[in-house]
Amino acid sequence: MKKIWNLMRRYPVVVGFVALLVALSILSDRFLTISNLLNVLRQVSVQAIIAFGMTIVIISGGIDLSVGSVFAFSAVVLASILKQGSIFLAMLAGLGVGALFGLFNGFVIAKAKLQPFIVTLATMAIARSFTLLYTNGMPITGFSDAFRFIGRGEIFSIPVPVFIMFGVFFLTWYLLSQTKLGLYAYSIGGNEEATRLSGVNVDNYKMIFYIVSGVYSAISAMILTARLNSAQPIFGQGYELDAIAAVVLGGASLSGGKGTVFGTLFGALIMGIINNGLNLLNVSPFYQQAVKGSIILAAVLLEREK
Amino acid sequence: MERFEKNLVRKAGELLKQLEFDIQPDKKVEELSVSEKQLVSIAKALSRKVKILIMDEPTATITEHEVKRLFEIMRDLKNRGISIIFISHRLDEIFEIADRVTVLRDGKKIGTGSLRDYDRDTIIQMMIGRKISEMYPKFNKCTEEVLFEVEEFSVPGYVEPLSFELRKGEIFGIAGLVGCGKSELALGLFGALKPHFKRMVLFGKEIKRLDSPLDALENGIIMVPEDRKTLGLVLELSVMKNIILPNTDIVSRFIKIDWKQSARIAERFVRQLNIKTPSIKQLVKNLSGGNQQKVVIAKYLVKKPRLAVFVEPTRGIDVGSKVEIYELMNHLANEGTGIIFISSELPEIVNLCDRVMVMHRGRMTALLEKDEISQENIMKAAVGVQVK
Repeated sequence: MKKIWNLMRRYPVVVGFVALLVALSILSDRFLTISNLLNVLRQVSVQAIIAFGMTIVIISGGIDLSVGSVFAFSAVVLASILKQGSIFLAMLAGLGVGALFGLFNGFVIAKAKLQPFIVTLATMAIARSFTLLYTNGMPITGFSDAFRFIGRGEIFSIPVPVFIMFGVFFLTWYLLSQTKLGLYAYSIGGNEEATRLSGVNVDNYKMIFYIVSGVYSAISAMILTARLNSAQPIFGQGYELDAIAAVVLGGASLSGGKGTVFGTLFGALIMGIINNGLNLLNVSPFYQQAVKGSIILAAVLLEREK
Repeated sequence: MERFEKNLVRKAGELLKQLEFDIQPDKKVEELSVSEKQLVSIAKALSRKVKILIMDEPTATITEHEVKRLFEIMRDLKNRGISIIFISHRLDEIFEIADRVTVLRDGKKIGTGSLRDYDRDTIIQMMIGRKISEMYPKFNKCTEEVLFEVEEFSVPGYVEPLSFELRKGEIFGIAGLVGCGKSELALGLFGALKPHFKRMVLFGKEIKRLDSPLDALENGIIMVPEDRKTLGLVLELSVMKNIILPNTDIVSRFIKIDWKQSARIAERFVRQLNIKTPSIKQLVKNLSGGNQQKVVIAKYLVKKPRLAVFVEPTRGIDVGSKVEIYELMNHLANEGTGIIFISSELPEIVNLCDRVMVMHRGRMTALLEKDEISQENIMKAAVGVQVK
């Protein structure tokens, strides 16, 4: 009992998640069905994967506003190469776009010592522009079944995107809790100067964190492109805010040094369940943003009380 | 709006004048020196009708002259019926200004009473729970063997070229006033500020490159930095993670950290340095100052250093921990680690060091041998008088 209580205090986001689950199960008889829950998971997977990358960046004291635009540019590059055939090459190119933008973000932030907010705001605009130029503003549609399996396929009747999401989740958990990379992310976010004086090459690690964030955006872009059978230049608008919201709901601090990917997973799940629940309850979608906003505020206030 | 601001400036000016603080009221606080800032915060406290004024280490960052001025103000306030609680670790000041005293140790009240009933030694004994002769333990055995030497070592903008050598078993002190360049010299020796040097030899091996703390650590040079909270520790991380931070290379394979091995190392150093913590999982922010400082030292001792630079290692910590740190420096010196001890507290420099280098405005103004070390000689050199 005490253990459960401790867990609740450490992860209020889980408590919120369970409360929402119970409330929606009572309010709607269509909510607590396996097919609906799997549907929520599949929808959440796109945002959650981006939020996992954002978690690492935010823990290290940074922020990445460019994830949505990088997502879009990566999606259209992927799609354009898919049209010419090779899935493998296309996916590699998509991931490459994510990695390159991450590297660029990290390089400018680490070497020019500019604020992450400003740098990624700039790359957010630049990547969006690249996307529009690259596609001339037109969507790219129609891919092979093999590729679409990533977004639409099921294994043991569980959607493939859900597997990918949990795969990325475990990878992130492993990086943050079992490796140097994770230790340094927390220590750079907690006290950058002390980390430097501990002989850590802070600049290099910052670059790695942004590269991870970019690559995660690209993975996420693959899923959505495959699911919709289309890559659209307006992809990913506002995704940075959803990701940041999930991370903050999960208990991370925007000033760095604190946070877990476990918390972020539940943060993303809460966002997804709210969307789904409001739909099921026939609440006008115009309310959705307000509900989300209020929940984020409440979560942050609760966090401060601790 | 403008009239309002003018009014404010006028009022602030009157207050500053009344207190005889020589500060322009319309200046930005960020343009003031540290001690002037301190005076502003005192004036701010006095701008309200105060009955009780609590001053927490108000003299820590101001010069001796300003301390005198502050004391005059405090006496004046006292005569006007204002009670003052003055918190300080400087005993001389307590005896000069206070009427009654309360001694705390480890969060407990040890005693309280009129200062007429106490002498220095009693108070120190109450503070440390031991005799004063045990305050500055010294049992290091100085030899003639040269362990470390630098020629024309400089840190651009802070330290002019200087040369010195360090002998095996010795505790080598560096003293000087705030801003004399001794902190920057330490940062330079650790590669945190880029130094220039003609030649640097440690344990007979010439050091060619010293551009980053990583270079320093690889050469066996460590620095226990001046301010544990901003430079030494990641407060939100555990004792173990802080200790492992500079030592990931010995506990990891590729990028995977072996947390079991890390825990063993952390446990060992927590025991060795007598760090009081409920567990190695405790966040360092919950530890006392003295124990935090020991964590900083521990993290740099894991890889046996060849040259250890201690910068103000006892600042703001309890007396018990101070003594333990002094003992540790003695032990390290005897085990063959070169010890450079930088401090602004003259008593500890005088009592612990075998030789002392004194700095003034980025230059070495004295290199005192054992029999020349005295507070007076150090102060003379620290204000720029060439002693020899």
